[in-house]
Amino acid sequence: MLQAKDLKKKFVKINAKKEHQEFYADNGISFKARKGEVVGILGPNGAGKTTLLRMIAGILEPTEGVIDFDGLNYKDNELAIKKKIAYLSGNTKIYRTLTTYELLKMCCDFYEVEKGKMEQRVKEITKLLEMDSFLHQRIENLSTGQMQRVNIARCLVHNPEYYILDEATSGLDIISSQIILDFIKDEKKKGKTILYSTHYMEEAENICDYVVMINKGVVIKEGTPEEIKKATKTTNLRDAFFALIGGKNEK
Amino acid sequence: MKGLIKKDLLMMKGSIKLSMIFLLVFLVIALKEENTLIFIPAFLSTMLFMTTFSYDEYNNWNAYATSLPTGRKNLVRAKYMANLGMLVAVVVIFSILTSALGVISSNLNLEKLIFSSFGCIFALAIFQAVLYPFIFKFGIEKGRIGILVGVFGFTGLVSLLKDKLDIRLSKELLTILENNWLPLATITTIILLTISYLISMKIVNKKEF
Repeated sequence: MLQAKDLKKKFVKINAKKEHQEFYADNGISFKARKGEVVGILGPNGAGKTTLLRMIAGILEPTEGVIDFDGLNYKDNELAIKKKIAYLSGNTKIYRTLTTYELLKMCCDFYEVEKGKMEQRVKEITKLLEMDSFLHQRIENLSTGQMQRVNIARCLVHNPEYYILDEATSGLDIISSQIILDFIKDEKKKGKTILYSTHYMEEAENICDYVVMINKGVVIKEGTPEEIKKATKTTNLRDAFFALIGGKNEK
Repeated sequence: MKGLIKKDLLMMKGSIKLSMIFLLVFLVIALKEENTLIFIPAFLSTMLFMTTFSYDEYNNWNAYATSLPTGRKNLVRAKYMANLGMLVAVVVIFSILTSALGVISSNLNLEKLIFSSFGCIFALAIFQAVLYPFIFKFGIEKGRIGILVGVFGFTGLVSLLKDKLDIRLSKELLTILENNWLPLATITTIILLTISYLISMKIVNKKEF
């Protein structure tokens, strides 16, 4: 189980008067993600989703709070945790001059997949994601959908227990987004835990077992999509979100 | 760390054809000249390696890399080791080729070749030692500008002070330096690389990607 307890992250920005000003991107966020659960982190742009997921992926260090993966915390077990997780962000690009095969082998090296098992693992992933036809093509020559599959493939090499997907479908066309969504469903069936941030409320409603809605760095509501809709007396998560922040005109 | 080094070498794969052309050009020149042409290919290899930082920035690599179970320490270490390894490999290859050509054309100056080879490694390793903390701190673009300003500023300042203050090294000191250049240069390079590595490590450990 993944548990985030009272996570806070402070940044410093320079304001209009050129003064250094501290602010909290996340200010006391707590939630749990159980085995085999898809947990959606929902909120508008700037709500603190990316910061939250970056802290959970071990990219940023929380200013305060604790992250716990099956009883392990980053302070004492950073590398052990990182072997359990896969992080995929909409911003992370892939080295386009490499072939898919080279990229997968490279990722196997990063996760110290045993040399004898490397070829086998690459073959399995290639078959799973139907990448045989372009395995040895340079990534820059692939279509967006194929590139998306490569992106997913690199997360699979070490067979992680947790997926941290930050706006993974952002800016993608409907087919490429569907590849990611199908992937999430498949991994959930295998008992993997998936943290999935998005600002597409409809998408989250279809795929998430549990939703954590955040705004301005704090949790404004959490529960199953049904529970949230019921509590806000709305019929979808979009309306629920607006109801929670006090209407559509709320900035 | 092996994976990180392999990644950087793979990144440069695209430049291999261009490097081979350079290699041929330098070999042709080396046939006509004496053994002093090692510096240019060695310098080019270092410059070529710098492109891996650009690739990393473009691909938002550092954020992804810090989610890998490699550790920040190895991100820094891999860069230093890959660049140094590549530099030494290029110098060794060119030294062997140059000496072979020297033997064929009967103009091999072994002493000069050894001096050039070690000189190249020391000079470029020190260049790397100065440059890398800037790159890790400010990124490749700002880092390059910083180093240009720094190097030219420092060189200008030294020459200005030298002219103004009429500083000259004593003959004894010059003799000591000349007779012990190899151990002195080795120690200086190792010290500078170690300091540079520690600074870079501190920068990367503190940096939020």
